[in-house]
Amino acid sequence: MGERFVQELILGDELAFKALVKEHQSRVYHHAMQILRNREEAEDVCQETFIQVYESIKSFKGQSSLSTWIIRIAINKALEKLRKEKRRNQLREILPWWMPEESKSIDSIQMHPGIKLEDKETAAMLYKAIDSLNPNQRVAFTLIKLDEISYTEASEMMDLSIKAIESLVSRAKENIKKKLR
Amino acid sequence: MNKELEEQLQVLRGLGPWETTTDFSENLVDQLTEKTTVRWMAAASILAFLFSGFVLMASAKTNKEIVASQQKEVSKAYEVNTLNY
Repeated sequence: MGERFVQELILGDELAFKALVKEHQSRVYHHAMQILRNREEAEDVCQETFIQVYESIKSFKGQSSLSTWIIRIAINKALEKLRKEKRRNQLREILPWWMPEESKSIDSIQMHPGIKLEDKETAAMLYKAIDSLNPNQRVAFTLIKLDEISYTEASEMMDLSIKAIESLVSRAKENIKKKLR
Repeated sequence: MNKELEEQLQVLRGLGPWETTTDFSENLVDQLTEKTTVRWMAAASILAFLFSGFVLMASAKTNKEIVASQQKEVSKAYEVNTLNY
């Protein structure tokens, strides 16, 4: 997928766009699910991501790979969803009568199908602790500690410096430890 | 504690990708077309709104002009009538 492919996308080639979606949809969905752990929301993120890719491909300068650029858009979309949820929860605390409580039980947390039965309890505890982090910490921690990608790649994906990512992960670890105590 | 957390995190590592059966390339083109249509419709309705506002203002102005010219005609007729008497 080189420069010529990007040119085809810029020209609005429908087939090229379909090929791009097919190539990247699994990775985009994986990252959205890792962050949100909600099938519907992750699917929304995928669709919104590819729509934005189609609309703003002209602004792609090739400073990072096309794949990293797409994942960055997906991460930003997922972050937007997390921030919206956080704002909704804050509003719910102020005006409980306006927005009724939607308590998320441990059972409602969507688990990765690859988790072994004997590990489910630990996984649920960890997921709950990760969910309590602020959106940026949650994304940085997920990328570095769960997906085990490099700090350099994570900094490109989140559009932050390596130092900022290190700081986010370190604070996330502290917060998770506090939650697990 | 650090080591303990790292050990616990092993449970969530190396699980492979989350998988979906949805093919996003299928309905995405339809969605894009739909989005473009909605944008055109929104633009058209804004134009229609502006145009109707313009027509409304113009008709109000014309109405005033008609009333003024009618009054002028009436006053002219009145003058002619009073002259006759």
